[in-house]
Amino acid sequence: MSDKTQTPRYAKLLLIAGVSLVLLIEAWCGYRVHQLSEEQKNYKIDYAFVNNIAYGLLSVDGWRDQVVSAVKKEAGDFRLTPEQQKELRKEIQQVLKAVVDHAFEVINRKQTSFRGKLRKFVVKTFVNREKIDNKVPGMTNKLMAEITKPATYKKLSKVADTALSQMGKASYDSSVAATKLVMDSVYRRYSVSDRAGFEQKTVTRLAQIKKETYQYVWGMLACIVAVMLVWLLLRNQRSLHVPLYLLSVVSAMILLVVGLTTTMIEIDARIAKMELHFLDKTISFEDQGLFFQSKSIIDVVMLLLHTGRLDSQIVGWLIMVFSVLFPFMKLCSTGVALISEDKWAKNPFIRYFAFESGKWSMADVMVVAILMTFIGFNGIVASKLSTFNYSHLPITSISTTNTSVQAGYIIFISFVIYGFVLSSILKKITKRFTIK
Amino acid sequence: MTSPNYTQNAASSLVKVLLVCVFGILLVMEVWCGYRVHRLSEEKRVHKMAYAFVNNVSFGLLSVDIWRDQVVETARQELGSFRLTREQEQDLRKEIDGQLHNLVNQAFADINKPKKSLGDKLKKAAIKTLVDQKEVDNEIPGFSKKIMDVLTKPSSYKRVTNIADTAIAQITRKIYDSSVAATSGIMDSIYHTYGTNDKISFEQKNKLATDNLKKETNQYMYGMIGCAALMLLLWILLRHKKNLRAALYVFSALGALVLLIIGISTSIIEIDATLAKMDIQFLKGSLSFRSQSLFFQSQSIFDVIKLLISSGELASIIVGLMIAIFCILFPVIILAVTTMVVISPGKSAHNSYVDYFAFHANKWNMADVMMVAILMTFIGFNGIVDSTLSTLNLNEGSVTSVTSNNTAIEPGYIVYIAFVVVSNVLVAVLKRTRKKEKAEQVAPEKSYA
Repeated sequence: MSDKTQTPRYAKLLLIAGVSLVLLIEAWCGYRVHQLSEEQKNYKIDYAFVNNIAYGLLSVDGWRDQVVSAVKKEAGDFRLTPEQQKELRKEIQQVLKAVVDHAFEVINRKQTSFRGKLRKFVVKTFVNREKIDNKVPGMTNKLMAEITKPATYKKLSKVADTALSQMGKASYDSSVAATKLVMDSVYRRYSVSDRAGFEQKTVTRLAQIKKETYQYVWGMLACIVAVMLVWLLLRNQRSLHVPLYLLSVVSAMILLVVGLTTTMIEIDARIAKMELHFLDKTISFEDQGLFFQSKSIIDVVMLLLHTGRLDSQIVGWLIMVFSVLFPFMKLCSTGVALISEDKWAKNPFIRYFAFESGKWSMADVMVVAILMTFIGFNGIVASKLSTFNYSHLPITSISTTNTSVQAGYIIFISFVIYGFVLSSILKKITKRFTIK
Repeated sequence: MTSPNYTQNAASSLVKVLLVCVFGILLVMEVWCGYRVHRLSEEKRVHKMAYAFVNNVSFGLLSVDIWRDQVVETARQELGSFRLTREQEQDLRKEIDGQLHNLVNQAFADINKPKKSLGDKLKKAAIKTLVDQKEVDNEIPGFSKKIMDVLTKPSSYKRVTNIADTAIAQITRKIYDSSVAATSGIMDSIYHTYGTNDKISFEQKNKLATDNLKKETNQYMYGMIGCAALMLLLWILLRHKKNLRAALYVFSALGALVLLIIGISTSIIEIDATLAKMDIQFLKGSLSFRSQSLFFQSQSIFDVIKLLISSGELASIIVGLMIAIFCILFPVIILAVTTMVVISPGKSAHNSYVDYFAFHANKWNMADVMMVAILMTFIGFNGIVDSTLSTLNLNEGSVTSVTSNNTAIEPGYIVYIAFVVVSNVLVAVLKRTRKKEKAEQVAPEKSYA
């Protein structure tokens, strides 16, 4: 019934025009997805840079002010404990005793001069050694009282204070000035003046980008669905199959190119929180970035090829083969198989690529999936704590939970699935050809 | 039926029973080994996770308590061995000399002040006759020496050390991690499960257990693969014995299925990044941290699928389902359908679905893709971990550190490879045998015609 041998020419043109329009929309969405994800990548790289651990937890500057002020306060509150006073007193007493001993020794030396002899005599008659010895504890007490006077402590803390301030000034990072310059230039690019402003701006913009990216991704997928719907409607219009199939191949190409070049995975390792009690202060650092990478498949391939390690290079080539070479070969083979009909469609090489090679593209999807589950759910510390009901504790640990798959991944998966669908369509329509 | 034929039949049925028994035993052995592989590998993972938790960098290098203790310990040692150097002693003596001179000067100034009362005047005269400032000044070095002797006595040093020590302890008490009590509670409960009380004996026991488990797991793994391979080999050798083929195929397929089940439920890759050693020069001593676990993760294919599906992200859920369908379900379906074909060849010949699934659905069977993907991931991980760790390998004077990357392939992956090989060979051989037989069937028919 549907075997009208010739569909009107205008219908063909109309179809081509309509589907081309859909493809244009798809391409536009793809372009936007690519652009937005690039923008997101730049934002995140800047964010990771500003929040890097080197400028927080590992920076002397980050610690200096907090530590110095805490120590200053501690120095102000410093008092000797009774035990320490006891020790100190013993020491003073010993020194005093040594002095007294020596004084008597000096006087009791054999004197040659008259004056010396007289002095010795006077001291011997008037000064009672025992009495002076007994006075030593009293003098010690007096000295101790002097030392433990609030005024002395105050003087002491003042000395400590100035010393600490000097130390604080001296112990700045040698790279502080340079860092500040870099940070300021980053802030200026975002036309903000400080970190808080920068963070606010990035966070809001990132949320916006994410939303928009997904809108465009869904737009692309909607285009694919539209193409599929056209297939469903025209499944019996055999004369339209060839142009429609070729257009579908183009739409798959668009998906593939966008999928390959758009960010696929973000790996993010950070120290979520570090909190400690330093003297009477709580010092805390949050979101200290350790490692951030944002990569598309092409980026990953390039990275692996440039590692200089043979095994990584082989994997790089494999990814290239599975996700770039095979898909393109597949799309081309299906086109060739369709156009040349029986002539090439029987070639085992073309057949393999057209019908069987699709599954190898899944290799990359699987690699990313395994990577995600291994890296993204690093919860040894967190999970152990939660099993012990301590998940609320601010334990300092490395967290990779911000690792996530990105738009590129969704698009690439869509491509792989779309590829499966296309090759089964091809199988169906070529079967009809051969039967004919 | 003649009698020699009868005995031949009896003999062949005896051989049949014997072979089935052999296959049965092999299968049971494989199942037992597989069960052991799974259990032991799980046990090893639990041990390793406990080790990674106890030695986690969070409780070492990143823990304020550990730093504090190390710094205080070093400072104390330094204090304990504190002695004044010769220069410092000289400086101190000079200082005391100066103070004593001041004292004497002041005393004589007091005495030399004009006095008003007669008594004071008399006193002044008496002192002046008895004491000469020059003489007193000459005695000062003697006094200084005496005082120095007292101050530099070992007992004095001890006392000063004691004062400083208690002062440090006082301050130390005020520096702590916000989560000390809880972590030490968890650690203790972990040590308890090992029947120990401290970290050192825990580590010893843990290490011993892990090493033993590793060896044992490998033995069982090879045993398991050996059983499956033997069954496959026997099946290939006996594939032309039509009366045996179906029964033996069932056993071989079951053997492959066991491989699959163990392969997906046992850990495939273990990532283990540790900071083996980090020494930081501090005062005269050094702070040292040993085996700080930075990252540990060990998962099976089943875990991967479970995590993906439960992640809540659409893309991950789809991929999780795809892996489950293409890497587990399809291989199982293919095995099941081929078994059906072998058991009742006549029926399947007419059912195109059965034929399709048995011999033409290989493009949906992605177990081989998974096999390659896991290897790629492993190499990728190795690369990532190595390059990340290499940035932590420091050797710049005050800080030296050595990292180690113990990322490794685990038994689950090897068993999974065995499954892929065994099931593919099984199906391929079956396919070829059938093709050949069909051709042979067709040939005589033609010759009749």
